[in-house]
Amino acid sequence: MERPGNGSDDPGVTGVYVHVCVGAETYALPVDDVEEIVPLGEPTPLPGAPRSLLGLVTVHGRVISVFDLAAYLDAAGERSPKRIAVVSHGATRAGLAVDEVLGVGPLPASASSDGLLLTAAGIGEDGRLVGVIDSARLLASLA
Amino acid sequence: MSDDFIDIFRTEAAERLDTIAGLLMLAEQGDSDASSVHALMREAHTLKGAAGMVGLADVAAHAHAFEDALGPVRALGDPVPVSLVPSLLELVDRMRLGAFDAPAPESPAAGPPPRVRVPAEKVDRLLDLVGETIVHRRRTEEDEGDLLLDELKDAALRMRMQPLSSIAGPLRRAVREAASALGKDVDLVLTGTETELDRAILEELPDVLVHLVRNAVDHGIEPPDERVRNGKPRTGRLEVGASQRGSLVDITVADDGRGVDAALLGGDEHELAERLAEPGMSTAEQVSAFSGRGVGLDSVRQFATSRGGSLAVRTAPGRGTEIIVTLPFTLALAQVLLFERGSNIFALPLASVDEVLRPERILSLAGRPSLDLRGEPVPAADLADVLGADAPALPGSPRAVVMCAGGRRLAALCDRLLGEEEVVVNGLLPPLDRLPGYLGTAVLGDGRIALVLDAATLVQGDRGARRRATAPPLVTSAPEPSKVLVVEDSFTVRELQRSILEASGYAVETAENGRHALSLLDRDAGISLVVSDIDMPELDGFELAAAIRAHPDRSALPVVIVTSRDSDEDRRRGAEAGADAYVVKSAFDQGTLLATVERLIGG
Repeated sequence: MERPGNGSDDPGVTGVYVHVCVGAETYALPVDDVEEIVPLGEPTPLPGAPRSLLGLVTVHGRVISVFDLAAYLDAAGERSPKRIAVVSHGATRAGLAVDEVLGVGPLPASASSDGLLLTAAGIGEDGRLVGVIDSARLLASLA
Repeated sequence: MSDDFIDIFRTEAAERLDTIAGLLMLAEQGDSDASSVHALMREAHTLKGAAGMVGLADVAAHAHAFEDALGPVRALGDPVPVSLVPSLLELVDRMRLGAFDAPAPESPAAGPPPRVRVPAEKVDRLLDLVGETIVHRRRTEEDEGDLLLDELKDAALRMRMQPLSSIAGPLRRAVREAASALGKDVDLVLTGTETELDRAILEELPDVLVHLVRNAVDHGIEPPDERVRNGKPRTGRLEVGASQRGSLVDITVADDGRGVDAALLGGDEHELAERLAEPGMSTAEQVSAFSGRGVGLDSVRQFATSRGGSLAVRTAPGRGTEIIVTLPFTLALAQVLLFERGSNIFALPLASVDEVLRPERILSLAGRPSLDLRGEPVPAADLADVLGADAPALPGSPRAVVMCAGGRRLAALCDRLLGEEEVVVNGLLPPLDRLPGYLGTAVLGDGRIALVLDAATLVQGDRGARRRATAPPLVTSAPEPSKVLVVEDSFTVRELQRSILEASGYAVETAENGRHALSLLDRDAGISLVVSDIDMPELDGFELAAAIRAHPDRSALPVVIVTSRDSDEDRRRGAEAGADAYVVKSAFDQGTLLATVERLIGG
């Protein structure tokens, strides 16, 4: 996936986001935190790991742990993860399994926040709610 | 003395000699006063102490001469006499020559090759790339370039390696220290010190080897008179050697002492390592200060097995004891056995594989399966059960991989064997790095991921998982190591004292002068003893001791004054300031320092 330049240094809701679909809902990941999108394939299970870990995959020869994003979001709707967003923040890197990637673009400004994994929620062009994911906090809470 | 300390000393000496030379140049032009004399004396004095500690006696002697020459001037409160400058500058030159031109003790005559410091992460990334390239290469199945690739792999691995000689200093010190404290004559012989080991292992090895050589001096080598009575040379021989054996390195600590009667321990030689390494087992009737504390052989065994190695002991009464710690040549690249269970491929380092078999029958007692291995029952378990994996039932005649670590064995039952492969092992990333049972992952030639098993935790069953989560540090003298504050303005001496104390199991904080020490004491209430130099800028050792005594919460905090001065006047001042002990800093009197620290805080 091409990485469009981020139009703003503001880490809030005015930047550029990767829009992903998890179940029936739409979420947005800050584009600067997303290294790449790869197909999910068949992750290698890791016995004994937390349930939210789907398994391990290799991306360019490196082993990446893939977590099920839905397990952290309580997202509604039927789910069928097909892609991995490889997310990194600082020294931490992990794969987040999502159903589909919708595209890259800005997000309308918004004020509401759940104070947890979402920094804010905005209304997308199609009129649906879009949750903005705090990648740093999500990565820190994977354990 | 290790080259590292010589390097540290050289860095410090260069700075101090420049300061001294600068002050002397000014003095030559008549620009000096009593404070310049004080500064010169202090610099020379600190240099003398540091030089003595790293074994550069020449430099220490010249520094001493420098102090002697200026002593009368200081007593009079005069500036530096211009007439004295040339002879002082000559002493500076000699110190410089002694510090830099003389070959470092114990370094090869040809001089050390130039060193380049490479950050560990860069080396590891290079290894990652090499591993990745190997994977791609194998997929394309072309021979061309394989040779080059192997060379590249070796070169990258070499960057992780360091020779055993890099830890010779602490070993020599430990032997000298133990021998003098116990009144024994011991000749330490190092062999195969050019053998290289993974940097990560070498960082932990000094603790282990220091313990083993102390044990050998204490329990193995007899006192000189006893040796003579038994027709042995007066001086005991202690050999520490290393040799590479395929993908493994054997590190041997052998003494020609009294040995251990295997029969006394109730087992044959085969079981000896196991017996001796049982927690709490000591061959000394009376646990002495040296071996009764710190790591036991069980910790050494745990160290070896947790890194994919093993521990063996050979001993003969009256002839001596040989302890062999076997470690993988590198942690990054491992020769592994691959096998399959359910949807996973597992890898086990060959060093942990005892044998592989197709068991004829599986015995069971109280619901726990076992195998009959030539008449010996060995616990067996479905690998999927051990790890908590979802897997279909085992085939009618499963394969058993018997893994061995720390004298315990486990027969892991699996679906089928896949063979051997040399792989690059990467640890699991957080938050999965705390998951017990795994050393990490390896990407195989076909691109699949193998889970690399940690035999040391798996053989422990349920206990292993818990034990690993709270694994104790290798060196502990007590549940919480006592914390010592070292106050010293010379970086070299500070680091040396730190290494001596840490090797004996103390936690160490350091401060550059008395004022810094007081602010550390304010912040850290856990400090249980202070070791301080006298001559320091800002606040000296006497003032520090007095300030500690004056503080209501610290009136009982033990203070040890360590200095190169040995005068009754200083002892009196030290005692007046409230110091509990006074240790004279000369070359290698670490035994005295340790004994003093131990006496004051009870080890």
